[in-house]
Amino acid sequence: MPEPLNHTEPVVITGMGIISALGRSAVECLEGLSKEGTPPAAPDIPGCTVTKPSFGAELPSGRDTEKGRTLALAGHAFEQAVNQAGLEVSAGERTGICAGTTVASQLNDIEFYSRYRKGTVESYDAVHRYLAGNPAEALKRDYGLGGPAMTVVNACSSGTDAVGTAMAWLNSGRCDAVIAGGADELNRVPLSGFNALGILSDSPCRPFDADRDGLNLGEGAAFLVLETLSSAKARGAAPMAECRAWATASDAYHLTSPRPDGLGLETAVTKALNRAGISGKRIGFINAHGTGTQTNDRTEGLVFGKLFKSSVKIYSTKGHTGHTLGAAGAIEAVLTVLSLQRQWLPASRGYADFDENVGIRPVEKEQAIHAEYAMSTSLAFGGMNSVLIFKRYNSEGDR
Amino acid sequence: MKVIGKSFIDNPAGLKIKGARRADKFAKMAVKACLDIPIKNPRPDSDTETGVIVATRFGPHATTFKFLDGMLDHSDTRGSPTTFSHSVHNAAASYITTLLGIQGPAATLTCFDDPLGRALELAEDWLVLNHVDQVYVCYVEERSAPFDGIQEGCGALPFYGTGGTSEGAAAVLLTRDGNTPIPDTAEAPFWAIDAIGKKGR
Repeated sequence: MPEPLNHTEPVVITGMGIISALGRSAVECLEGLSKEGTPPAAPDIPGCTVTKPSFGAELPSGRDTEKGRTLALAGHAFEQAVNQAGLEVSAGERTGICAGTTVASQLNDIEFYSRYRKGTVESYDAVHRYLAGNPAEALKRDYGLGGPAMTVVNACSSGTDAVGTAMAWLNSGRCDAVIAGGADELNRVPLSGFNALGILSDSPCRPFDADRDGLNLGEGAAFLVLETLSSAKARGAAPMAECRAWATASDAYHLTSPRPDGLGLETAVTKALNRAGISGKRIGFINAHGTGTQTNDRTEGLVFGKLFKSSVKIYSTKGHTGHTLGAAGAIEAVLTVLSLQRQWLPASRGYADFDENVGIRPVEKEQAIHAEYAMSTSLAFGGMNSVLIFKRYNSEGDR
Repeated sequence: MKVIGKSFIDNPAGLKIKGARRADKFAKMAVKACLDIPIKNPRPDSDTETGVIVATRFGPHATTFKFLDGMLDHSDTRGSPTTFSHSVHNAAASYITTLLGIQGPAATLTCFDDPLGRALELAEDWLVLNHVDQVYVCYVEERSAPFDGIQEGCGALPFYGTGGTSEGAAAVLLTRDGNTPIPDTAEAPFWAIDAIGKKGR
């Protein structure tokens, strides 16, 4: 077994990349959080008859989508992250890649499958694209990474759990640096599936609002360069924040509904706080999963009210980005770190009226804050609850 | 790591599991492999110290194609919610945690290069870091008529439908005591079969 890292050695973030409906970079996304922004619209996908509003991301012109849109989104965010970190990705076997996704894990090219059913397949390009499209393996291959590659498919917590897996690889001594994140495209299949589940809103989503009636799907990608502090120092890289703890816990309850008593989320939050070595009072703000569905928001409200009382500021960015599924946890990790760095919180877009069944009032106006620690939560289909805790980095040693 | 239990299922026909009536073949095989591991000491009712890791190359593709059938036969707006929810890769892990009462961490991972090896490494990390006291690692693959046809047409699906057993699930329950080395799992289905003492080829 690998020799575990001394637990006093921090894991730090030295680079971040992001693309979402908010913009194509961290700067654009941060600016977008303080704007009214473009409302979600019916998806522009050939053949798609689901017209519920969703959030598309705009890839830069010239970005190759031949290998698939999810990979194009992933590549855009990955390159930003490693460039910001100044990381030489082909530096050996101790640099890993861990990516979350939903869409890119399946052969769900409906045009190909339609031809297959009719017996008119002329090309198996869709199959080869699927086989070459596992995000972690594709990024490892395309950018010459030498370390482990793993794609996490934990549904809506995939991005958060990819970052958590990266932390495990670093803390166990398996890697010195890991690029971790998630990517997902708007696609006919999840649009149809979420529509069938009856949880897509007909209007812009309203996380935590009394009149919330469902989520909007979105697309995007985000990647973070995580490394041990000693690795960052050896490279002369400047840490942006400390990735302090990750924890995940299962509801053991139901395939699609969160546990009503919130025990799974409560366990994950409690374990993450314990691993971070802090009490809940030190959490300055929570970037919640906050999808805008009845059950998710009620569960988060119940648990946050129980564990944090009214002492913590809570917001959701889903009103700006939509629910980007396997990318969501990574996108929200980046947005959380940006808020921590800037000591600023955006308004929780879509919220207007208090719901006593939720019991929390999310941030209603953008505001300056003084926060040392921040938390990001993801609740997933399948009863998964995952939590990340970040700490503001102080280069003078008072981490 | 130490293997404290192992199990294998290679015949999905007629699998009936209490509490998993609506589960698809993929999930049932994974659940059955984990359920069949003999446990010496019963776990507590709220077991937050046991984890689950499910690894697969292809996931529940039979159910994915079934959902696509519904979209093509009817329309995008008339898909089956039950079929869609079972087409998600981590549905199997959800059934395992629910039926075994496991409230610890659960992860489903997919890659074409040695998914079982990656899963065992992650299990090792969770044990080393005290994230869990024990962890189920389950490797599962299924066959579907569309993948059979695609493999016949282009032969590109790695390790699909090959060897003595081409679908099934193998599970091991690991703890941190002992020092069982991670085996070479490049041909994961065969290792999984060998691991429980039944030769796959």
